[in-house]
Amino acid sequence: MSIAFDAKGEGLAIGIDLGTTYSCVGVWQHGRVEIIANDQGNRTTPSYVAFTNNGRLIGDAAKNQVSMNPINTVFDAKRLIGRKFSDASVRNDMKLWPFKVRGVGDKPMIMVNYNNVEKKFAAEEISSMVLIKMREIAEAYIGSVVKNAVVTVPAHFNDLQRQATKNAGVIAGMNVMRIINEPTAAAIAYGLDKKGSTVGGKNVLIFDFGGGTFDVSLLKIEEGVFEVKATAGDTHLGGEDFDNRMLDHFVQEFKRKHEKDISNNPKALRRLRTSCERAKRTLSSTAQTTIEIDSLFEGTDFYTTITRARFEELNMDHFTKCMEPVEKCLRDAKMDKSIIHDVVLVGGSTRIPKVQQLLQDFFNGKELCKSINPDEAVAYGAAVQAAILGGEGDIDKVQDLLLLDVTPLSLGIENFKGQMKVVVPRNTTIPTKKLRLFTTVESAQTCIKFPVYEGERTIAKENRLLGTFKLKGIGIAEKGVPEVYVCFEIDANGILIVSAEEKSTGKKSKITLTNNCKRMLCNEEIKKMVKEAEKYKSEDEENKKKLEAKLVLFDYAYNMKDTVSNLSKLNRADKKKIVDAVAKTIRWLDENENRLAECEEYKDKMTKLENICIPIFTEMYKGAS
Amino acid sequence: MVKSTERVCYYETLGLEPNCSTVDVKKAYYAMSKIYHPDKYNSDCGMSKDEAAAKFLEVKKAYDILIEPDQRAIFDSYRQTYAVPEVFNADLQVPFNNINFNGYTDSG
Repeated sequence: MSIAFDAKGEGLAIGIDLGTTYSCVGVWQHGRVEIIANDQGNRTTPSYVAFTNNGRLIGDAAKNQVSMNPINTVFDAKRLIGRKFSDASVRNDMKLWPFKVRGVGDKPMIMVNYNNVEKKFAAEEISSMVLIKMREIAEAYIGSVVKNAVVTVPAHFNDLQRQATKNAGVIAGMNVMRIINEPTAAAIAYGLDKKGSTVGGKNVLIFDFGGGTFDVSLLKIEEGVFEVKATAGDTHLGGEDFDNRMLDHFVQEFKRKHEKDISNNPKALRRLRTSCERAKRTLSSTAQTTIEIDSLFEGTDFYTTITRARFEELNMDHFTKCMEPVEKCLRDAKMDKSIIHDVVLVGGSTRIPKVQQLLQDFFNGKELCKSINPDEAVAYGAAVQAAILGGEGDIDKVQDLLLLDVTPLSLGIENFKGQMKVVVPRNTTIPTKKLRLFTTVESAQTCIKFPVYEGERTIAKENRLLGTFKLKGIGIAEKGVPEVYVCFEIDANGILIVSAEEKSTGKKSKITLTNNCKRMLCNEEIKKMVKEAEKYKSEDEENKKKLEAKLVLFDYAYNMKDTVSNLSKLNRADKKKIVDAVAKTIRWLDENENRLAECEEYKDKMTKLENICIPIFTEMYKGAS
Repeated sequence: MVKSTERVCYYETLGLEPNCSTVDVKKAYYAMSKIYHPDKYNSDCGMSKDEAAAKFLEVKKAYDILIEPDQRAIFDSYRQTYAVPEVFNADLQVPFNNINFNGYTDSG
């Protein structure tokens, strides 16, 4: 049997690459991975959700209408997920987004107008909608219900971002079997057929440069074990940043040429941005390209050209920034670049010639490995991992395969001097469990507070606070006497649980950090969102039915109009009756073009029209025979 | 300030002899990971899921020490004499964090 069923027999498990700009889904079937095309025939789906008066759109449908409806079309949820509203990156991104983001507490919420009602959504909810879409794409292909999925995140995502991504899965009504790192998933795609082929193993550097994030991971692949040695990256650097630079460049150019500022016009900006994305892609294969937008702003056309050299100049600092994590990764893994067997390119941005050149130069002219599809490799690997986790060990090709991933950031506790005391150093293989002994700093101290941080700075405050917990009821003793064991446990998903125990009294305190953090969703909120997601889904289905009813009526009306105009046998009075009724129906449809009426209304109109047309035709055919 | 705890032999954990090579260490680690890692859990191994996960952590720790020549040398010297010491870093008080032996500073 080559199909991956999970242990409970709940059907196939899928792998989802939930990207910043595009998402991709794959499934292990018939002994290999199938990357699944969506209803438009595309193998990647834009991570876009649009809210309109005609319902909700996800994927290609949402992206296609973006320039008509920029402020209610949401994208880039991955750049918000697990972040604080006050984060500098969120502040900067907000300036570029046409949709509104507001801080509730310190949690960023996306504001949209849906069915004429102001609605706010957490990034998790938007991501859950994309996940639902990806699942539907898979279900349409597989032909049965899909419950289980492996979802990928950038290797450099922190604990909160991972937990939030997992919550997005819960809201989507899925069982997220595992969160895995994108470059690691890509490594599986690269190494699935190569595992164990080289004596002494292979050292592989995965250079994963996508639409919104950048990761570098160094792996050793030996005897079917994919062991991550080190990982580094930037969760906020990708193709979109290049689009932004180009956009900015053209806004300035437009100002210069036409003395008009388009920067406050979301529609014009959106159209220009779409052209920039296209130009960027073209420049990977040509030296120069044109931008042609009719009537971009106040009736002014915008025609211009951009060369590859200019594009590179605009983004040079971004490109050179990419080499730092490569160096860091090698340093952390204590490996020299000369012992790297393969440098593997993943993610759309690795198509940029300058990026390839810089990377190749760094590796002293080494040929880069382009054997895997950069857009699909991550979903491919996720699908393999889904098969491993869901399978019952009977999948020949993957049975022997094991992923050993690492934690990307150091985890520790702030001591009383404000220093970061690392408990789990970065690049530690997970799952892991580490114990540290702490004690009191004052005599008769009965309570110790443990602020848990994530990051590499020695001053704790400069790192990211994940949460704080207290151990109370410590037995009264001289300072330094009580023995408090703090245990950091990281599961295979990279999600952290911290507990503390005092030896003498046996007092215990434990937190899953993310549950206790203000900007994370609590269980009640998640439950509420799950309910809402179900509601939106049924609304979508309702809207689909309405749309179908509308189209049936539409077709019928135009069909009648056509038929009647071509019929000579019909008497004038009957013809007029039909023409009038059809005209009335079409007028009503036109008047209601921007809103969906109830199914009943459409059916009602349909019946009325039929009641006029059918008797006339029946009569006419009777007369004819 | 050294604490004696139950005697642990990392060679035994990996099912190896003390004169084994680095390649043996690696092979044993890979083979045992494929049995005890939570992703590969199968009740055929005769352990509960939690027991297998705990076993994986032991295997990993043994590997981390035996794969590093310096750490392995220190372990070998202790192994000959008496029970394996367990050294803790008490960072709030910092009385004994100057022992350069990572293998025991954090215990699984």
